[in-house]
Amino acid sequence: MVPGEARSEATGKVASQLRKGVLEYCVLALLRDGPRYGVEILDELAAVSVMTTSQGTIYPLLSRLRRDGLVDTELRESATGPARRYYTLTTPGRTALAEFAESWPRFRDGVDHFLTAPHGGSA
Amino acid sequence: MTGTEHPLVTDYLSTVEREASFLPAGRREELLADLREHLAVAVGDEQDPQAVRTALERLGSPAAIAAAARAEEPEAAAAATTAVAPKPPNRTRHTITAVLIGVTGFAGIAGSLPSAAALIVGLALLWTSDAWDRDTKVLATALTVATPVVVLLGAFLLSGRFGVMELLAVLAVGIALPATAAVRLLRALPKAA
Repeated sequence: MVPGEARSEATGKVASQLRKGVLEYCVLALLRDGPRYGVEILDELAAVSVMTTSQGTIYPLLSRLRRDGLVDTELRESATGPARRYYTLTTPGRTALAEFAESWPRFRDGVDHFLTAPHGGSA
Repeated sequence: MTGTEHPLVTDYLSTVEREASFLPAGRREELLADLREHLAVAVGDEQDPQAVRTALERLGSPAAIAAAARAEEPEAAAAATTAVAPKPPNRTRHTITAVLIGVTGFAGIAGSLPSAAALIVGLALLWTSDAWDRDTKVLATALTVATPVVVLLGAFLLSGRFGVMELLAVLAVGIALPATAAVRLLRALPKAA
């Protein structure tokens, strides 16, 4: 599962640490326009490569979001298959998402500042 | 029937169950239900072995899922915090330590034996405690051990003209040094909850 090459392993570590902080907000953002069920959320995340992770690890995250009251769940019958658990954004969830959406550009710009601005010294 | 009855799936789920045995039963059941439900949707009714394998691969290793579950547990976060947090202070013991060290000067008036006893027990308690950092321990020890030296030295130097004032001065220093150590020790303690 872990790539043998040391370089990609290190990149994987960076990505995994970054993902840890933002993944839950990406999940909240996915629910902004309406309820979705688990597999749907996972597929959306998998479509963006940096958010790719073992899909199964999302379920503990979803469970915590539910415990924290940021999402609500509801089991709905499906015409085509088994019943599906739908996740809905709650009001506190929406607030948390709005706060993140406000902080993120500042955060991103802050990081970019250090990564791109010339600081003299070693280049 | 759904794909969750495929042997590969039941094997997978029982591995997750084993790996996640640290979770409270309710939470573990919830996780397994989530995964079962996911597989039911992802695999569908055909139970095509290749589809099952792909779905399980994409879910990731049971160990990774268990690790993610552990990271999301409030108890795990709390345990990690308490593991590094200092133990609640044993105030009685700390007070006894400080008092013993503080009275070594007074005990010296009663005789060298009580003073030495208080000194030895006090220092033993001090150095076996983790309530104080090394610098504080060294300082308290230096102040306390210095006392008999200062008193003897004072008595020797002043032996020619040893009056009441000199005696009082030596006594005051002998009492003040350990008392200072005791006060410092007590101040260095975390406040009672």
